[in-house]
Amino acid sequence: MPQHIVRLIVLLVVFFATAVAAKIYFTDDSFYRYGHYRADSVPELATGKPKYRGPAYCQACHTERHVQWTAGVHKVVKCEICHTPAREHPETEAKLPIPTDTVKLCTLCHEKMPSRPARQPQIVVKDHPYPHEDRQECITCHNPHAPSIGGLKPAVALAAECAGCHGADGKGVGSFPGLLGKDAAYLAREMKKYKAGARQNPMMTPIMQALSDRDIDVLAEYYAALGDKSAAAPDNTGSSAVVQLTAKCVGCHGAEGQGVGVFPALTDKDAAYLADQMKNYKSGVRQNPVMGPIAGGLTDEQIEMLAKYYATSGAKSAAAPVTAPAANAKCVGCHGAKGEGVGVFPALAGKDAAYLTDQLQNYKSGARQNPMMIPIAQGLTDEEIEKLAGYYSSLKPSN
Amino acid sequence: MKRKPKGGDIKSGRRAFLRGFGKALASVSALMIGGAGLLGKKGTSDAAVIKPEIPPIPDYDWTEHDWGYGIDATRCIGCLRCVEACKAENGVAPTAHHFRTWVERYVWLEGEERPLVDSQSDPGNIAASGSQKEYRFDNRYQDKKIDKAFFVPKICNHCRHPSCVQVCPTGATFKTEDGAVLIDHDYCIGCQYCVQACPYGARFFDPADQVTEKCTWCYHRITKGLQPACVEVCPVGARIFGDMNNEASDISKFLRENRVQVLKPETGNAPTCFYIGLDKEVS
Repeated sequence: MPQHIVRLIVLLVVFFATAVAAKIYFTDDSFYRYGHYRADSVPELATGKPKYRGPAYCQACHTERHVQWTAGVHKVVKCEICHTPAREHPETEAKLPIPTDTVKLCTLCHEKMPSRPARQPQIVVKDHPYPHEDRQECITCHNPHAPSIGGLKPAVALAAECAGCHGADGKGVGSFPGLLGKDAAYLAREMKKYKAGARQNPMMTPIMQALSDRDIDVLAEYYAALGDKSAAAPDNTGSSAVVQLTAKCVGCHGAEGQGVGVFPALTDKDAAYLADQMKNYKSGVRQNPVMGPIAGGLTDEQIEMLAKYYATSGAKSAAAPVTAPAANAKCVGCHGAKGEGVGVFPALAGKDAAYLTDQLQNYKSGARQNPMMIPIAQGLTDEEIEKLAGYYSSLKPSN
Repeated sequence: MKRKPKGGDIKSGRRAFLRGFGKALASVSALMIGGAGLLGKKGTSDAAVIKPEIPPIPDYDWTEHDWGYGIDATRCIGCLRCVEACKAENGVAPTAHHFRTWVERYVWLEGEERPLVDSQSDPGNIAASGSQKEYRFDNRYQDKKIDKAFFVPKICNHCRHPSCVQVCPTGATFKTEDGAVLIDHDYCIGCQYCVQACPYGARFFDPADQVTEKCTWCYHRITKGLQPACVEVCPVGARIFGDMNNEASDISKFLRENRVQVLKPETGNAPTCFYIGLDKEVS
């Protein structure tokens, strides 16, 4: 073989040997183990501590908060969305931040936007109730851990939580003190102490923590005002207690117990029948997920009172047919089932029809300003306003 | 036929050096090849006999899983909590232009044929959030007449046939047995071929580390039985993740109960990220 060819072959061999040697030397040992990549990078990528630890991690210490949060509609909004990832809290970070700019935070999800699905609860920020120039924080009224769906609860609904121990009329039961007639400022201050834990009580603290500061103020004014009324008409406590109890019924069965949609009328029924059925719900003989707990929260005496009330009110309305117009549903939430007025919301019952018509029209046109009444009045036709005014003027004032 | 080399030993300084070096290199190479070959053979034959080798991740066998991702665009409210969670969990560059997952807003103004599209990187949205490290959609369409509008969360599709893996010149990006497309940052040379190759724009170049970045489905979380951070925080259930091998998993249920689609099926990439509620304009 000619020598220059031999040299060429030798050089080529040397070149390939160098290349192969370099490739083997420089390629990671784990390369090609599973494929054309470095196998050791897989366990490397799988290491690393998760920073989002999940609500179960928070629950270990924040048990009470967790209970309250899981019961509300915000249970889908996990702790670390608002409070930032827990990481190694509490070992490394003693405290996670509590958001201060709640308007900015809450509107991330709840600002009305055309591209948001309609089922998402949304507000037009500038039209939201209490639109102050000096921005009010959302948590002044709303409890971020368990906000109420469909807006804020009226005082009557809030008071239902108190009635279990303090009596339907807030007069106090056994060792549970009376609330009515107490100074509103005193009640609010004490309730806030329970909420903050400054006043210790195993029952009151969790109840108060579920309420926003606004809810507490509304309740305090409600019970304070209730005391004034019953003092003015002390012999009327029996019937006002019934009206209190009906708060649990009117949501579904209508303000007059006339029945709404699938919820049957109560007023056309016999008192004995009504009492029997409520007792059946209470004992579980008759099963119903809504009625069961409601009836379970009533004493037999209260059941009898309610049965009698609805049975007789039916007879009354038959004699003088004062039926509530459909639009009435918009009023009872704040002004009470009978337009008797609740807390800061004035009584409507017995007011002059022309006066009521005028004021509703003023709200509708904007001549009278009020962030809650204007949207409601604007949703009413002139005919509905006439009917509502006629209805409330025909009702008797509650005291 | 052998010829004597011309010039003999006098002129042979260079040749002698080459010969000598050649011999040395050849023997060294032969030793290395032999040694490495023997070691390699020993390793693989043992593993093959005992069990198929799996990456040493505690309590995790990647042959048991086939991860899949679902997105229900009809639920997305555009709160961008997923985007913030992803950044925090994975330490993604804190700018308004580098995202492993993001959300797009599609808006058809009244009478318009084509949608207006923006994401959290839009200057208006950055201004609304107040900083490059916070994310929110501004309310620019609140007073406009809208025909149709919705949000679409986007993320790496973790394709069955990923074009990014195909073009990577160093084997730095790869598909795992359990379905994730990952990047080995030790091997990434930052050439960005993969950024070009991805039809979904799911990859970006991290200017700080000079490597390519993308979603890993939070591989450090899913191998511990957790959900990816974006799925963990979504308050409306618009993001679904789970094991498609497990019939009871959220993703299996999602795929059974819905008519799903993937983005750009014509590319042949075969994504494992499935959508419901998209429109024809979304790609």
